[in-house]
Amino acid sequence: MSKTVLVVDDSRVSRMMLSKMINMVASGDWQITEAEDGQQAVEKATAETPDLIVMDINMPVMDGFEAVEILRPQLPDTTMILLSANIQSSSQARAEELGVHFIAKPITPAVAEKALAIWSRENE
Amino acid sequence: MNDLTVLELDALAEIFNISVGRSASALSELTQEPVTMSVPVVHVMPIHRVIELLSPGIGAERLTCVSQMFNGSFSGEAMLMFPENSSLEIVRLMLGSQVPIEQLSEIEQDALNEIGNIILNACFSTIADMLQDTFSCDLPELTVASVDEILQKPESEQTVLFIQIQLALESQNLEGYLAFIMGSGSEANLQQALRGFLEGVQ
Amino acid sequence: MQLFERALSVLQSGVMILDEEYRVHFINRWLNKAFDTSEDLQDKALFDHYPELVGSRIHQAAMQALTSGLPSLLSPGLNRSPLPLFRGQGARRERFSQSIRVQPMMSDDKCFCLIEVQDVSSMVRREALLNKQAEKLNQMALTDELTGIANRRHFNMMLERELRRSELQGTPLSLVFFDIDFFKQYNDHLGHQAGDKCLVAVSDYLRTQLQSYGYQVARYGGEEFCIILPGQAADVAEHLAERCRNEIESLKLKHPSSSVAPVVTASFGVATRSDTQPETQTGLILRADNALYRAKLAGRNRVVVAERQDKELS
Repeated sequence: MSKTVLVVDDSRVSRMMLSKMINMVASGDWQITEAEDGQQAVEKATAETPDLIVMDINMPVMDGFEAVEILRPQLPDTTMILLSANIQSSSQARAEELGVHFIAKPITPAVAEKALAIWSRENE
Repeated sequence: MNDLTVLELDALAEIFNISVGRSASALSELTQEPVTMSVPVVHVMPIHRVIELLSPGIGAERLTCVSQMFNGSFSGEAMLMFPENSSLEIVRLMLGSQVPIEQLSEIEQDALNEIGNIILNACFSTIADMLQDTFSCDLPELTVASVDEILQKPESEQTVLFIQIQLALESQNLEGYLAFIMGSGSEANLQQALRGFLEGVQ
Repeated sequence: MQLFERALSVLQSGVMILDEEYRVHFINRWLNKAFDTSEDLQDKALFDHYPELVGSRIHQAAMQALTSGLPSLLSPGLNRSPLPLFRGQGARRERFSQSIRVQPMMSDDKCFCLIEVQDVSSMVRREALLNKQAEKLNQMALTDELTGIANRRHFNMMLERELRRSELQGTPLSLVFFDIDFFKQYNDHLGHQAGDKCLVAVSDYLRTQLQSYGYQVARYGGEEFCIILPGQAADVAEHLAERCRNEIESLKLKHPSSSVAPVVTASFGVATRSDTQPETQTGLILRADNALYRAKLAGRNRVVVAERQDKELS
């Protein structure tokens, strides 16, 4: 059965890039769904229970941190990863506290590989 | 230059979002304080329209401007601008100056120059990474002047990539502006580069 | 030696060129000496030699110049002394504040970076001094010269802040105004120096008394003083005013020309911010001052509380 990944970013180009990178790195294995902001992410994740969520932090309506605060207790088996170009220790610490991972932007094939590797590790 | 498509503007916005995100990390490390920066809006417009856009909000207040000339497949002048009051606030917060100052001292001017340099360099290196280009730049220069004086260029029809940025540190929210004034021919090259980038992603 | 080489060797600031591997391609005499080493750093790998610099701002700047061709500026305000450089001799040897510029350079298709260093210690010291002086001037602007307590300007600032806070939080705010009875006569009879001493005695005493409550007393002008009581309603304020009145009288400062008592006394006016009607700073001050005036009319050496604002209007 193929796995689902929810890609969340207010930038359409970012979502396109992530989808493309994921397909490049592990094509066929993953079904990709998208959301534009934290609120949509919560709605979709609640309805679809994805295996993996890769989410930008800086978004309008609801940001990445707020969304994972809601989703983390709700979906204990979903691997969650936050993306940002702002990699200061306070953000990384906050991600750790929330029980989610943190990868730095820009979105490259390496980022996609890392995200999938994290999922593999958590689901061995 | 033809108007950029929605997707091209989105790509630009994401490029600058990443650039200011990286700068925020660098500034945070430098000042040992949490720093957040985001890019709410990216515009592409002629210079005179930028002046029109800025003037009502700024009025007679002066702007602190750090500028770097750049050269690559698109060339021109890159500027980071903050209203003078915000600049004073930034140096006060980042240098820990206790004293309410009306004017920037030499140390503070240098600090602002460095902050501008960090942000502008992050923009160039991100643009270079994402659009597969290389840039060379001059060292930053600081001026404090009115909107008109700073943006007064011989050709007021020159295209500007104009970006509003929000800077948050120590619970203070400050608004600044990035402007990339492009030499003739540069706009077309930029659009070309964006198209190439998008083709690679679609 | 060429003229250029000679110029670089006598230059009183630092010049260093690193190659793509961060090896010192060239370093001038001034800078090598400042590095506090007897070794010649020429051809050494800089970050192997100084591993504490790995990942530092100067390392990042060199990296950005060599890999991305971008110049950087390290200002003394944000980077006190990025490189381990020293000046002075023997016991006076100290690490100095630096201003650094890093620029990319190309030669024969190879990348280099130029690092330029200046000793800016005297500039930094001078600015620290200016800052201290500015701070002192600012303090002086808010302090009454004679008594050392807050002056009217400072009082106005504090009142505005407390008024806004009490409106936001919905808490009460009271103001006490008082002035020394027959002060003009005190001055006329005993002289201005004695008058000053009296003001200082009263303000000193009250300042220490009120400090334990966290209240500040300010000099509004001449012989008029005021106290702001954030979070307190009229009853507490009245009680405090009465205590102050009593304490001043108990100081037993002889006042030969007072027709109220043989010692220095003061009259008090108290006003509390209305919680039903919005009140301006001026409004509140006027009501306190009015109450003070009524205290004078009623015979001095007493406390009068202003009517609640809504009552006054009806």
